[in-house]
Amino acid sequence: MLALKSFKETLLRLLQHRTSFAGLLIVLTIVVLAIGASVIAPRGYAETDPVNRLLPPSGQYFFGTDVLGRDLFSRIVYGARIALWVGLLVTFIEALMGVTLGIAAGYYSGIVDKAISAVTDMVWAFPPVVLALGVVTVIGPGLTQVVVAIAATSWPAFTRICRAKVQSLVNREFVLAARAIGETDSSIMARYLLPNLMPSILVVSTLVLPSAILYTTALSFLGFGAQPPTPDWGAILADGAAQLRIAPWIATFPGVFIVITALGFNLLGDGLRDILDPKLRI
Amino acid sequence: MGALARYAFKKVLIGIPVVVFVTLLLFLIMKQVPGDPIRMIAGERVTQERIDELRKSWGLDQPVYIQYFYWFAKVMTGDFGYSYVTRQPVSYLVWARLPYTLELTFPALVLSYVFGVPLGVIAALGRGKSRDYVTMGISSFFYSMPTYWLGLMLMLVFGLYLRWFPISGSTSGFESLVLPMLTFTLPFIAFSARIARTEMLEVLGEDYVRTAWAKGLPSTRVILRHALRNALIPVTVMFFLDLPWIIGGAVIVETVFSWPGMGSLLYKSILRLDYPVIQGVVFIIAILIVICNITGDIVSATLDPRIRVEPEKA
Repeated sequence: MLALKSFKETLLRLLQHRTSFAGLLIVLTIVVLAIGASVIAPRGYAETDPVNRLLPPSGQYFFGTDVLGRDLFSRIVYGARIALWVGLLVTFIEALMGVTLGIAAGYYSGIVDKAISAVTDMVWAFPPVVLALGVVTVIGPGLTQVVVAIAATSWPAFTRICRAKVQSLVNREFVLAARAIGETDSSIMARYLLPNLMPSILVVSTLVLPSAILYTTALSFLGFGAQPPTPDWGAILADGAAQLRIAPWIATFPGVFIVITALGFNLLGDGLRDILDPKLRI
Repeated sequence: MGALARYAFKKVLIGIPVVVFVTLLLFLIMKQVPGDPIRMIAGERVTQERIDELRKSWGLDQPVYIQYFYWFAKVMTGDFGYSYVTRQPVSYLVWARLPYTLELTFPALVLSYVFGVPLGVIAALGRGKSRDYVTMGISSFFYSMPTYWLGLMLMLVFGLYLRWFPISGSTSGFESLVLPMLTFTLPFIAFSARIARTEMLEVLGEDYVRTAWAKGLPSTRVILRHALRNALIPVTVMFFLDLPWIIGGAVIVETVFSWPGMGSLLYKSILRLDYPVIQGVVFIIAILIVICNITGDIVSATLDPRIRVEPEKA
């Protein structure tokens, strides 16, 4: 059933699954780039060099240079840190909020469920970028603000799935047994229900992470996220948009990395879903 | 009143508080925003008396809930107030731009359905074969793509290098529509294809489809009549629920292409802290979302009579 299959078995099946194996490889590559950024990047991400501005890609500058003469390859490699960190942070906050609300809604039916579901539906229906723009308008631009804004607006995916799962579990024998031996509500939710939700939470997290990266880079692109000289991929892309005519490489490369990263996580997530919870819809 | 009409009526009743709640929330949020609009309009070299006078004339000296009440009452008569920046009526600004956004989003939705669903069905029918991998690979690729980057790349290739289409603005009629529309449509085709594939696979595993095969019915009949018809229900509902997301995407795509729609209006207004315009645009978006949700619910209830019955709590 739903119980988490052994880590080894999951990994083994993941390796046999062609597309998700490709996804895993991509994700690992990006992780290596992020961890080893200071070794891999030939220059610092904020190191300017006015003599060598707007150079096209070459053997010396793999991805060319930007308007301040900064090495684009180095900036993008350091950018992997930001993308991964932001993606993980947003996903973690979302999971914390969404799972808590989802379990509560599924466990306590009635008014609690109705209230949580109403709020969830409302937030779910609203386009995250528009909502996040509203949040950023209030708390000001910046990467942290964007993380908060995106997390605050896209947790409903977790809530919906956890609520549905808990509803299907709450009358099962092991829950009734736990109640019969006098376990408290919070203990049943945390120790009996949550472990059964873990596979689905893992799948949802893997699929939410790439959209978190897409949304945060979008807000950075619009100028509400990372501020200079932070090498956020969205912010670099915004610089590139301004130089599209004379230096198209600046806009091209960060986008390629966003696509590759998001694609990696999506492929991995699709594979995990097929293995852990094929009926899950997200 | 028939069951369907009753269901629809109930959905509309639920929709009203949603609009009130969203706009009230926004109203309260806007009040917390740093930056005093009166100062922004009046500039620095103005006396305190003049500022108080202006504040009064804009109604900004009243308590927040009174301000909201006045705003809502006026909105009901079609009066959204005036832009702080251009002094034009907000209703004029919004109505002038709404057609541009619809011109962009509506074809995108239709095209995503027309191309996405068949692709998803083709992938589902060839599950595990190369056409499934190819279709889903391409669709994952577009699904993982930030729309603003896709827009810039289309601009670069078709606008700057090939010079087939203008790179921004809306002045060249259909030609200027092509690139922003493609930018909108491609990721949504990918999205629709994914959903259609999932739903189709689900239905293909159902007993009644197996029965249809077992009866020896021709495969086109099984696929089109038995499977596709049922798989299309959730896909169609998703079609309506997608619309708000497309509008959200409009902020980005319209900004990239300098397209004079509601999205770029919202973006500009946020940069200028032009509250009345932000309120107006979000109000329209909230209304559109509620209409889409209600339409989606009603369509699914029409297609699938089981939905009309409130599910009993287990």
